[in-house]
Amino acid sequence: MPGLDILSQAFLLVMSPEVLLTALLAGAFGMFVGAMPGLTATMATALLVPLTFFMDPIPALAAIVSASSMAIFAGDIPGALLRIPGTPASAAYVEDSYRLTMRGKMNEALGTNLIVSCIGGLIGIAVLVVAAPMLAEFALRFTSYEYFWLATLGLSCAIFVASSDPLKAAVALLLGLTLATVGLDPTTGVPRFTFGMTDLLAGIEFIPAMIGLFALAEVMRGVIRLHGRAAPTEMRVTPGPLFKGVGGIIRRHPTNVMRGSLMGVLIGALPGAGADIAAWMSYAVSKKFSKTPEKYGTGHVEGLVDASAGNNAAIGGSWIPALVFGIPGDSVTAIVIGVLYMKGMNPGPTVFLQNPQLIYAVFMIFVLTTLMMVPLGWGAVKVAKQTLRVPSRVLLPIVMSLCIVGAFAMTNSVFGIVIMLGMGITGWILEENGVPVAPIILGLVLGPMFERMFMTSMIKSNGDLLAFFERPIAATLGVCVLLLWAVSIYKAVRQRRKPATPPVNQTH
Amino acid sequence: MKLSDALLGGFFVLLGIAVLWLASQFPSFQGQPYGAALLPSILAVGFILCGAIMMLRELRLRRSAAGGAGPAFALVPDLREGGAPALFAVLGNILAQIWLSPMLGFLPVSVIGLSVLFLVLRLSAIKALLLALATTVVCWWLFVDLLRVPLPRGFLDGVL
Repeated sequence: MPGLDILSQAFLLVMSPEVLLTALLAGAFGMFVGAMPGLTATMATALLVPLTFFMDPIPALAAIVSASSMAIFAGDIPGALLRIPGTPASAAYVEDSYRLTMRGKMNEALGTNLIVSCIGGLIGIAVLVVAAPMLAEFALRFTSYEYFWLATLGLSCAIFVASSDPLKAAVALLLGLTLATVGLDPTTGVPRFTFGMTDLLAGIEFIPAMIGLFALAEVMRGVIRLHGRAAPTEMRVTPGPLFKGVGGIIRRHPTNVMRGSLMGVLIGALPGAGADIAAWMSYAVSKKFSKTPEKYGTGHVEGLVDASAGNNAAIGGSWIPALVFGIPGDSVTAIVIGVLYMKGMNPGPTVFLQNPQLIYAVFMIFVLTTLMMVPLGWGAVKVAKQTLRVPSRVLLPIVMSLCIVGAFAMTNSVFGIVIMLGMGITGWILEENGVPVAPIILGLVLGPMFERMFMTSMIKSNGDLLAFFERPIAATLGVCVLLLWAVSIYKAVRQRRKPATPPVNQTH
Repeated sequence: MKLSDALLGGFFVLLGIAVLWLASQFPSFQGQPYGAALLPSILAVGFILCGAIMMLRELRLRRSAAGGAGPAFALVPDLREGGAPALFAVLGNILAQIWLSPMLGFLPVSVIGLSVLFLVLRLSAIKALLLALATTVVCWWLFVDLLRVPLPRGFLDGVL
């Protein structure tokens, strides 16, 4: 446990009006973006980052934490009202919550979503608070070999665990890693892939790239789909208190809340797998262990409890590897790591030693914003009928403008817009062809660290690959990576005998 | 734009070859066996391998599906059914900001571009103009007045 002075310092950092106001505004923004179908939690974060660039570290992190947690809950609202998940993380149980609404039980569904999201979020934070400092102490002894294997494990998870078509995820990851090599080479200082452009010497600016991949690509997809769309479906909003009967549901399903939350934290902590996969997995596990699996998908509350606890718990989980090792747990924390580097707070175990007050301030912000979710969520549900009426044809051009201005602000030149446009078109084409874009951002963020650790290790060992296995932890991690590859390739080869299934189009 | 996996795989193979060739041009230093080209070369081999497997996978599938496979190249259905103008309006807006705003300034490019986009998305002329104006003013206020981002002022330099 940290000393009282560190905790009080952290408390003072968080309790400033600037931080609280930022968290509140970012939370409201996250609620809105998450509730709008087609706009995701990652997009909320991507659009916020250019603003956080101009803030101090703590308000900047408060804005991101607040917006991303609110957006994950808010995705449940259009799921219940329109049968369209607001974010991919709410897709797992959209059928259940919509059918509950059709039976006049909207308040029960959304009330449960909200309270369970809050509980799941808090459990995720508890695990983060306990696990991160312990892991950090352990990680202090790591050398470049351990970091190399950790980064490789993270990248491998993104390919094999978090995607439906490992081959396409691998290509996306390679693309991200290759983009990360653009610019001056860190070991020799040679310019790489710059084609004589001075703008490229510093590398591909990460935030415009991300705005392109996650926001502009979504806008392009959105405006194309707008053509000839039918009038919006009738919304059946039930008046009355939101939380009536919710306590009973939670008391009847305590194991579901716990199981969903713990699954969420674990999956969130895996690099590359975030809230959406956590929700699907929690839902599937819940169905497997349920006494009434046949009721799932017909307006049953049980799976909804597991999965909405799971997706919010995943947020806390995804910050564990991000803060301790600088390895992102999902695309939102990939953005966070970029922001931390910009603020000079390089993530890694040393932050826990040098600036523990910053880490504990982040933990406090997490608790604060998760509790704030209840009143903000209540408000969001109450005004949902009006906000969901805002048509996409109004919203998408506004998002496009924010993309343009945000990308410009990161480089203070139109070059930021050029990067955004290039990545936006790339992301759009790739997603239309079933290639997930989240691994690109993972590669782009992890690339520099991965290369530095790889090159350091190669130079230290004089090219002897066995040296990568000489230290006990490095050897364990290395064997894990090799096993993961072996098992996945074996499974892929065996599956070839069966007819191939069409890849599922993943959106993040 | 929907490409077949074979075409997409082929593209990645070509990309891998290009990266490999470019990396081979990087200068190397005496006494430093592992230089700037090492990781890009490894990644390039990855591209070639993954692309080749994608192509093979598709070919096997086509053989077993006996004519049931899709075309090598197709447009996304929504794009075929009339979504193209909207897509071009979005891309046009961004290209205009890249090419025209340094000369004309962010404000006029944004107002005109957004108005066109809203009109393409079939909003009424009045609504389109008002929304374009409001969005532009809010962006300017937030980024230029509050955050001091030097968005291009163009010929309005000195007026604002």
